[in-house]
Amino acid sequence: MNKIWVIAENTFKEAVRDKILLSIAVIGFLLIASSKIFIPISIGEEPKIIKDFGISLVEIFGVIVVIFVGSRIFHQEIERKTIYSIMSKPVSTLEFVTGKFLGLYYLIAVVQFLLFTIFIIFCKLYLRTVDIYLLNILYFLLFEFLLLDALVIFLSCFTSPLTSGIIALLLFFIAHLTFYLKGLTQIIKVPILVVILNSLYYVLPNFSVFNIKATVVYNFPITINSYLLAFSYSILYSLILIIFSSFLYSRKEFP
Amino acid sequence: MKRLLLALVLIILLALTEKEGFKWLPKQKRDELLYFPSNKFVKATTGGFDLLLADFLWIETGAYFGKHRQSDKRYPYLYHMFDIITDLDPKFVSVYTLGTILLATDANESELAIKLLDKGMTDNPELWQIPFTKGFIYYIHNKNPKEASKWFLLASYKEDAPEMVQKFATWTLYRGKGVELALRLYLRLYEISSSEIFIEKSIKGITKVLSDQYKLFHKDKGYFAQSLVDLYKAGYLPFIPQIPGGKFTIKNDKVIFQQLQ
Repeated sequence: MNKIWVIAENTFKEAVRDKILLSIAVIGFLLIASSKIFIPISIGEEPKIIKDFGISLVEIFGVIVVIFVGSRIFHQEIERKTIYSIMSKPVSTLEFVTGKFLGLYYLIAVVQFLLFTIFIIFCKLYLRTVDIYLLNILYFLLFEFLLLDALVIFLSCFTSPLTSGIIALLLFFIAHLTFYLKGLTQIIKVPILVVILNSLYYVLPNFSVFNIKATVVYNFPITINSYLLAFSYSILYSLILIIFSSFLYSRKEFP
Repeated sequence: MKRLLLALVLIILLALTEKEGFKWLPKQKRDELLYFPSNKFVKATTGGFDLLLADFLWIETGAYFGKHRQSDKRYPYLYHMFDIITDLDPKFVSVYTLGTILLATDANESELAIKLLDKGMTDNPELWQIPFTKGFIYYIHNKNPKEASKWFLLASYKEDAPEMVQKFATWTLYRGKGVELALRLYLRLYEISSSEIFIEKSIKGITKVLSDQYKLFHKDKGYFAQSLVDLYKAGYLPFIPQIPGGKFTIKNDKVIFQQLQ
């Protein structure tokens, strides 16, 4: 367990040193701050627009951080040739991949807390009030990013940084639309296609589990089932992906 | 090679997006509504950011409305825009309350406004504001007090509905209460509006009602009333409407709204 934490900590430190992360944090800060420009043109919907805008930016910048940093996470080790020193030590691939996964998650959690705090400060400045209910968003976002983190790690094990980044981004969008696949099975009458669509529906990650933005913005109650589903779905799916990732990584040949 | 293949896949996806999404647009208007492809398609491309897109489209619709209000005063796509926004965010109440009033009064599309309100009532059965707006449009725009009364009554049954809503339901059925109802409806619109467009609209509406009563007084009495107090004392006005920051007054034989310095 100690080896995993060491790898995780190093991954976090390396990412923090990365200039991309700083740029993303600064742009995120500026964009959340700039939500004020929507106030005069929002035709009576200022609170809603500021909340929607802030929550979405916190999520968008989280996605960017996971994809930018995550897709290069293994590649950097090979590029800097640090992988050889790690692999020569008594570290299993499962420990190495899990360490990388947790390091990236540590980073994304810090970024999310930072951006969310900025968002709450601007809510207080612009709307003169802070809605504690908004904290629910953070809970669901953290589980969404746990799964996205695992997905990016999984993709990075067998693709180049650019390819894994693009595929992860596409999968992020597709994962919000999987309910359409279920809808299609009701319309399509070809049995083989129904089987394929149903399989895709269950195999592809379903990010609508974590999408409670409307519920929070409109102050609707969140059921305990939603909290439990987000928690269990994210943990289980991520664990499966990490196991597959370590398996794929163990078969990788280094130059 | 892999990158080229990826680029090719993305190009094909983009081509499909344009082919499917922009089908409904008339050729000459494509630039104006570039961000408003077909309803189903918009929903399928948000990637979970439905609310954010709905907000951007709301702002875009405001710009579209403002642009046409300054020029040709024609709004052929207003309903479509509101329809997409409410597809993305069915709880976007301002579209149902304020948007439908624009649709009925400025775009002169009261049938489409009613259609949008029906959609809003299906998605938000708990809100009193939507049936209330439907009653408003039936009363003010469609001049159908019987139908208006029905919707005011439905609105009054909803939780959180102000007491005044039930009074509206009764007043619509009494002819003598027409002026009071119209004034109170416009004052209500003023109260719920934080946008310049609707504040202006409610002031214009009140001025119109007062002008009609001023003309009626002249027709009945053969001389002009000197002030709104005269109209009130003679029973032509149930009360003198008050709006913060200004007052309604008679100047040069005309009812105007005078901004206070």
